[in-house]
This record gives sequence, C-alpha cells and structure tokens, in this order.
Amino acid sequence: MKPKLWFVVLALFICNPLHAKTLEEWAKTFEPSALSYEERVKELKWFQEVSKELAKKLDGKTIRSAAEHIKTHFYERDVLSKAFFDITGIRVKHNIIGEGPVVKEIMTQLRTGRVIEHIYVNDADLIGTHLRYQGVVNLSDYMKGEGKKYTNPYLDLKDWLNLEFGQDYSGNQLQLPDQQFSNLYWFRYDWFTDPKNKADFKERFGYELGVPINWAAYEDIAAFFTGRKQTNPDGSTVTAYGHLDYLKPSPSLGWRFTDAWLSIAGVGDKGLPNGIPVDEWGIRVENKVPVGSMVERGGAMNSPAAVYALSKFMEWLKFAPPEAKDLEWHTAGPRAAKGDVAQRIFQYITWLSTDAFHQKGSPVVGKDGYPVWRVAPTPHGRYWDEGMKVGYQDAGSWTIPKSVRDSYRAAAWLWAQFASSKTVSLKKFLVGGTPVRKSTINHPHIDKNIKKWAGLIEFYRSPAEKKWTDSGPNVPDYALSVTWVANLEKSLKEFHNGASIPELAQRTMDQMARDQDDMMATLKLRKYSPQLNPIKSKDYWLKQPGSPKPKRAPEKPETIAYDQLIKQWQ
Amino acid sequence: MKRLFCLFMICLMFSPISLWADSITISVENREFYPFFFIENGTPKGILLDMVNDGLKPLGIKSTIKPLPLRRGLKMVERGNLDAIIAPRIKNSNFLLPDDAFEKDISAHRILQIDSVVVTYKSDYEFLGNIKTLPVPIRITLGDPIESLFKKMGFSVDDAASGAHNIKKLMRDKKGCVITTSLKAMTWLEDPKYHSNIDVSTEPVVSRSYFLIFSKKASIGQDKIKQIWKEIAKNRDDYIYPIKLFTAY
Repeated sequence: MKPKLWFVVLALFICNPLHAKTLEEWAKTFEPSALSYEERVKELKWFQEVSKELAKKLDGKTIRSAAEHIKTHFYERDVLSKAFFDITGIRVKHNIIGEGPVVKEIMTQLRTGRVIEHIYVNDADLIGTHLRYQGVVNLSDYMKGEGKKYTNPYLDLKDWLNLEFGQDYSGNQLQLPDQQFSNLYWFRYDWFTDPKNKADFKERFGYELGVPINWAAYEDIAAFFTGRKQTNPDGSTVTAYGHLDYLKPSPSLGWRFTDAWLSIAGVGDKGLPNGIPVDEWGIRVENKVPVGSMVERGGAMNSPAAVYALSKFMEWLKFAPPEAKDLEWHTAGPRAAKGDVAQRIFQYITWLSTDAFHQKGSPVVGKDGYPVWRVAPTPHGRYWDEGMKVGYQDAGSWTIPKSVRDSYRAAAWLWAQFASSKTVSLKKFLVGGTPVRKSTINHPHIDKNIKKWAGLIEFYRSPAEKKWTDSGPNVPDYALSVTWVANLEKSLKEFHNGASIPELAQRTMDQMARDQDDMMATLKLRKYSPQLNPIKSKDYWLKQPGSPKPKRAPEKPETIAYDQLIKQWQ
Repeated sequence: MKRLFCLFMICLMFSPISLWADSITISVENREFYPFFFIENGTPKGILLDMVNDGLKPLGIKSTIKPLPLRRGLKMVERGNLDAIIAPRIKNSNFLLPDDAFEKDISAHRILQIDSVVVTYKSDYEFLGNIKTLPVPIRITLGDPIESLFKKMGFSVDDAASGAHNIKKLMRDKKGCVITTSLKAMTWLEDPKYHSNIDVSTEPVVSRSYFLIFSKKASIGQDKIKQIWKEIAKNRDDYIYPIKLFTAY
C-alpha cells in the first residue's frame, strides 16, 4: 500500500464512528458500577432501543447542554457524551462554561424564550427562581405524561441523594440533581494531632486543639497556626496560615456569602431545610411570599448576626495567605493542597478530587498514600441555634427550559438520565468526587477505599448530611445575588483602605438589605412574587422571637477530637 | 459685546448638530414585532427601544423615534435624513455598524438576538430546521423582512397586521403555520385559548441580531457611537438590567 493510502486509512479510523465502541464495550468501561455487567447491558440497551426513532428524526442535529468547569462535567463531556452517541446515535455537545455564564444563559433563555442550550446543569440554588418564573419543564409531570416513553425504567429516584433540592414547594421535580457538592470544614489532621502542637495550643488557650465546633475556636486555631513552622509528609517545612479564603471581585464572591455564610453565622431561623420564616439569605418569607430582607421589614440581612458574619470574614483575612485577594472560588478550591494551610472553614468538596489533594508526593498526602487532611462539620457562628441548618451543599441539576420541546426535550431528558444513571454514576464519582446516588456512596468499592475521601463518605452516609442545604425555594430570583457582589466589592475596597470593621460591616449589610428589597419590589413573578412588609422600627423586630436576633455576647470556644466526631457521622 | 454675541449665535447655528444638542433621530419598523417594537396608541414602544434609550442616557443623548417601513427607514438613514435605525445587520457602505457585526454570528455589540419560531396547529409535525417542510400557508406579520427568505424559496406568504390576527387564522383553519418571536409564542402557549391546540418549534426559522445602525452622516461622532453600542451591550450583559427590562412587558 502506498504511504498516502495508509494515511487516509489511518485518518478514517481515527475520525470515524468505526472507532466507536459497542454497547457491550461501554458496559465493560463503566466498571466499577452499582450494577452488575448484565444489569448495565440491560440498562444501556433500554437507552439504545428508546432512542432509535428519535436519533433518526434528529439526524444531523446536536443536543446542546451546558455545565460549569469542574472535573465531573469534563468527564461527562469527554467520556459520557461519546458513550451516549455510540449507544443511542444522539449527538451531544456538552459545553463547559463558568457557573456565572451558565446562570446568565439560562436566565436569558427563560426571559426571551430563545433556545441557547437544550439542557443545563444548573445549581438547585435557583429552585426559587424556577418555581416563580415557571419557565422550566416540570419533570414530575413530564415523566408521567409526554416523557413517560423516554423515562428510564431503571432510573430509581429513591436512590438519589437530596432529590428535594430540585423540588418546588409542592414536591414537583423541576431540576434533577446531577452532582452533589457540599461545603465542609477542612483541616490538617496530621498537624492537629501532633503532640507538640496540641501541648502548645492547650498552654496558650487553655483547651484542647481539635475540630472547632464554633467560630470562637476556629479563630483561636487560626491565630495559633498563622506564622507557625510546620512540616509536611513530603519533608517540606512551611510557615503556616491558619485560614484560607478568597475575595477577588467576581460572581463567586457573592456566592461566598449567599452559599449560606450568613446562615452558618446563625442569621436565619430554626427549621430545616432553610429556616422558617427567615431563611439563610436573611429573607423573611410568609406563605411562600418573600416579604423583606431588611430587619425593618422582618428580615435579617442587616441584623447583628449578619454584621457579625461579614465582620468575621474580614477579620480573619489576616490569617489567610496574602494572595486570597486575588483568588476566586475555583482558584481557592485547590489552594490548601500547597501544604501551608492548617484549616479552612469554607471548603467546597468539588475541589477535593483534584490530583493535588491525592497524588503521592503532594505535601498533603502521607507516605502511605492517603490524605493527611480531613473534612468535618462546618463550625457554627455565635448566633447559631440547635435546629438550624448547619452548612451548605447543593446539586448541579439537570434543568430543561420550557422553550425546548418535543424531540429535543426527549433527547435532552435521555442525556440527563444517561449521565446520572446507575450504570455510570460510580465511575463518574471516582473521577469527579461529586456523588449523586446513594448506591454510589454505599458501594463496597467505596468501603474498601474509604480513607481516600478523608471523611467525605462518612458525611454523605450520615443522617446529619440533611442539615447541609442549598439556597432554598424562598429566594425569588437568584440574580439578587448580584446586589451582594456589588456591595461586597465596594466594602472590601473600604476595608483595604483601613475602614473600621464593625461600622463598615453594618453599613454594608444595611445597604445590601436595602438594595435587595428594592430589587424584590420590582419583581413581578408568576408565582409567589415578593410583597414587601411595611417598614417598622428595628427594635420591634429584634424583640420578636427568632430571627432577626438581637446582639449576642461572644461564645466560649469549643473543640472536639476528630476521631470522636467522626463516630457521630458513622 | 452685542456683535460678539451675534457672531457666536451665527457660528452655533451653522455648527454640526452634535455640538449644541445631543439629540438623534432613530427609525424603527412600523410593524408589530411584540414585545421588541410595536406601536401603542400612536407611540412606538418595545424592548429594543428601551435598550437603545437606556444606552443613550448615560451619554446625555436624547432620541426621537420615527416608526417607518423598514425599506424607507434604511433609505433615509443612507441619505443621512435620519441618524440611525434599529434593524438586523445590513451591508451598506453608507452605514456604520460595529466591527464584529459581520464577523460573528452573534455580535458582542448587538442590541439583542431575536429568534423567530414556527407555531403550528397541534399535530405530529415538528419543525427541525428544514424550511421546505413548513406547513402552508405561512403566516407572517405585514412588513416582516423574513418574507424575502420565503419568497426566495418559492413560498407565498400570508401577511396580517399583527400576530394576533395570525394565531386566530391558524386556530380557524387548523393548518399552516405562524412565524413569530419565541417570546410571543411563549405568551400564546400560556394562553388557555391556544395552549392545548398549538405546537411551537424548538428550532428557530431564523435568528437575527438587531443593531443600532448609524448613518455615516449621523449628527454625532464615531467615538460617541461606539460608546452607545458599548453602553447597550453593558446593560444587556448585566444580571440586574434584564430583570427590570423584561418585567415591563
């Protein structure tokens, strides 16, 4: 054969579906799995059969989906979309874009009806928006009606973790979780159990060094480790930081707060999942209708607890690496793996699957190949009371705008189900570290390797996990978070210029609450549209039971040994 | 002093308009293209007009909107009788459009991207991008430039004064289709009168970027024109601005 012909044959082999895997080959690829090989083949055959007609109809068309840039979604793009095409003949373009653009695109699509994408992996934080805009497909209805034919008989919704994140007030599934991510306390177990560190800490603070239960202890530990020489398993010696955060102006600065920071401080009311009647954003809601953010309207966004939350965020920056000012959520995510951070109160687990946290030779991996860090419950702020949500977690969730109809809707729904099917979910978790099914976290393969996840599996298996929740259905439009970003940016500028913290924090939260209420007043939504309470004195509301709560005295620092704590999760 | 004042006034009168008054005249089509542009009680209104006016505001420029048929509006802009027109991109050496207007499918300096979709009477038909499959008669609103696309393909179109007329005809005849904006189609889908009797395509028949196209003879300078485009884009890409904009319609 002439060299040119060889080249053509090779090119054809690489570029063509000749290269495609068979269904059986894909079934073998998804090992380990919650399903046996035979069960996987059965499930994949269902996808193949049901898609035949649809693929023919959509010949040459591509289903467009969008998701944020995390490992889980790259796996969906690089592996699962290919498998889906090989098995069903339906082509998917899984666009990986930032979370900000995902929100912007879906909101544009909801407002204009223009089809930008056919399906989104959109955080369930937007459930309050979706149930009020009424712009996305009600999946519960779809599964029973028009989409019944395209609904996987092996879907098993009971196997889902936190399915309720994607449900409206009546339990209708508007979004189907695709990947769960919690926000937990992260710390260096090796440093915390080091006898010299323990003795020195006790001598200085009068209590045991351990996992902080409250912010007072977190602050002491941050002060203790900052500037202290510590060694890593790789032999490196570092000057440690007692805290890590990020404050670069960006949408993620807003999420840093809307993702329950106020609630962790204790701003909201008791009652799961979000606090009743005042939720984790400090919004008071009556009969599903938001009535105010300002204390003067019964909200808590500028309450003493909220001011305390922002003050501590600013005060603790002195314990964080100086580059915190240039970090966003995704650059701060893997930062602790550099080996000079002792603890982090606000760690998204999304980033704990990155190689930096696991590969041998990393400063945070022991000689046995296992992490020397652990995750633990989020410490509470001074205003937190028993019965409140403890922390934040959310689920990137499959969301189909109503403007996507008929064949496109069916194909998008099939893609969503495939990418979160029992066949593929365990493998996807091993890559991305963001589970979606109970059968994943309870799998024997996970048992065998449980040390690798350093407490995360115990968290997901524990009933306590239900106390970590997302921005609930009370938030009437997620775009309100923009008012947070704008005010925080301004406030941080003043902070860098030396403004006094408590006054600055009060001013900022006052403005933010006012701005949020002003925006809520302009919203005209199809359901449960905000109707603001009349203004009353702050004193009136602060004297009422629950949130907004009056000023509290500093709490006594409390810690707990990790090994004792983890038993509570087991 | 009196003589000096007179001289100043004469100079002012003969100076380009932009030196003494920041006011421009903009044409918009006089057909119904709800909610993007339409005429209500003799006053031109709509999302595109709001976006343009909000883009002009920070620069202290006021606008006078003149609703005209598209061709006439374009002609007047070409001649410099009007400063600008709100329209899809059109190549013409007498027009000023953003640099990327013809480079990309979706320009960063557009006012808005608007899709037109197909509304059919409930059936097994689904529009998947092939115009030749559209059920006839094809109904459009009078003056919609999309007519030329169908005519090129040999289709005759049925045009009515408004979308409301078209949807009523579709319901009456139970055949053919209506071409309308995705936003308008959404409102019909939510209307109990039509909801269970119509299908709306996912795929658009056409997706158009609308621009604020200036005449090269416009009464304001190119730097200001670029600033206007920038202001419009800034608002459009903002998180908050669209909430207020769309809530109004």
